Amino acid sequence: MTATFECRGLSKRFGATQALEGVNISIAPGRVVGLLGPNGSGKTTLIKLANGLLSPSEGEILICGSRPGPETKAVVSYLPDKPCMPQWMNAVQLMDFFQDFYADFDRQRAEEMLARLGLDQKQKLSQMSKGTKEKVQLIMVMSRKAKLYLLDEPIGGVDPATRDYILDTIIRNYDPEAVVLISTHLISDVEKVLDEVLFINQGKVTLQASVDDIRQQYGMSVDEYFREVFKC
Amino acid sequence: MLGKLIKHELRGSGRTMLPFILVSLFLSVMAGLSMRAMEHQQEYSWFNILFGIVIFLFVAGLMAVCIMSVVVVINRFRQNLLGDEGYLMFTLPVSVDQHIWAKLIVSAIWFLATALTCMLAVVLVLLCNVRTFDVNWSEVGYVMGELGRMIREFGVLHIVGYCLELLVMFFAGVCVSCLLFYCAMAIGYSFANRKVLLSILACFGLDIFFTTLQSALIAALNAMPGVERFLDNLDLSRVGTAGSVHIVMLCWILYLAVYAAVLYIPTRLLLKKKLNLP
Repeated sequence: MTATFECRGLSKRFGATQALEGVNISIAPGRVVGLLGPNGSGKTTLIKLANGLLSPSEGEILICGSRPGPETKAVVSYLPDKPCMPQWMNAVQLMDFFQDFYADFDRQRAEEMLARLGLDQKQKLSQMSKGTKEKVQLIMVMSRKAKLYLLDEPIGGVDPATRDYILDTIIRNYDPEAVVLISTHLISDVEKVLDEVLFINQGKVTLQASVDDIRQQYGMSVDEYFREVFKC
Repeated sequence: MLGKLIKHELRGSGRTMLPFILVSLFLSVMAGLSMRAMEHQQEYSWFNILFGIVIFLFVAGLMAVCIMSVVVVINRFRQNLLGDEGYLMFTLPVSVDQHIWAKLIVSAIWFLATALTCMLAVVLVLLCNVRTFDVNWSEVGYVMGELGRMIREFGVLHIVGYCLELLVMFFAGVCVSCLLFYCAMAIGYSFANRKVLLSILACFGLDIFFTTLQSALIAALNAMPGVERFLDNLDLSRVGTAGSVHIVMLCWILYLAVYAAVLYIPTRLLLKKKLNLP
């Protein structure tokens, strides 16, 4: 079976800084994977490479067997770590936009989620609070029936109630045949939804293992094991 | 996908441009009507001040449309592709080429709309004052007749050809101007810091570079043996006046197309390989 997400000897340099070095990853369909690492470990760089927002210095990255391009972007649903939706748009205009460009966008699902949020769909993003903007952005991303969801710090900088809403939205809406890659350093919050984890540090993947294996092998939760491994 | 990009780009830029266009057309009607009212004004009064203000607003409105068309073209590229919105735009299932073409086509539409707005504004002022200006309709008829005679003389096909060539030339000219800004911004925004300053410097740098390059090329062509003889022996009488105009226009289009291509290649390469979103 072709891996949904694969890196082969992937490296990325920014001038003299080595952001990623010799990364080898393979993720089969149907897995929820945590990309875990401290700040500046290379998580966002890896996700940007998968989205074609950066080009590799060496090696290759494959999405469903293809290098990042318009074809892979049609099957990848990406949530960046910052608001990226045009602020002048309202929820209806955003849905029109997503529907126009993504064949896999499920408008009905998006409308249901927005209704549950109790949001005025005619309200502009610029008039919404930071938390609401993040929720709307997440709703758009999770309303796609994508093969790969790349979620960069989806719960960073939000209150615990919003964290629960975000994780619940992710778990309720992703396609079971898809891969969900969640980048975060807030492990205790996401641990309950993960099948697998990737530890990344200083640009290198130091561990790829299932959550159950970690618990069995080390007798501790992923959060505890992470703290052990990355102890300062 | 290019059509969808154009649709959304028009929507994004139209919300800024359309109010300016509508306001300036409204001001042109107001200016026309106040000019007409001034005709009956015998002595200096508060109305003269009002008239002055309306005329000032009319001119300022037209200038604002012209300035805004340039500002919108630059700002949409910066904000939509090189700012935070770039995370959304560059993860759409479209190519970098489609992004650039969408921006160029919409820019051309707005520049054309700006030119038409200016013309329409003048026409509106004139229409409001047809009686004031005492239009001699027989003279208008004579001019139209002369125009018709010229068209017949040149041939309708030639005139249609000129119009098409002018349109292509306009689009190629817009592409060159926009790509100069786009290329400069793509260079400036590929750096980690001082992106705006570096974009401005890159813009000046590119302009100086291409002006120098053109001068050097012209000088080199002049120095080449045989060029002068070739130009002297060039016999355009075989193609006639109408054909000569076509040749000149096509040469100019070719020059603009090459210029645009030279700017397009680094812009595309930088957006594809050196994209550095914030």
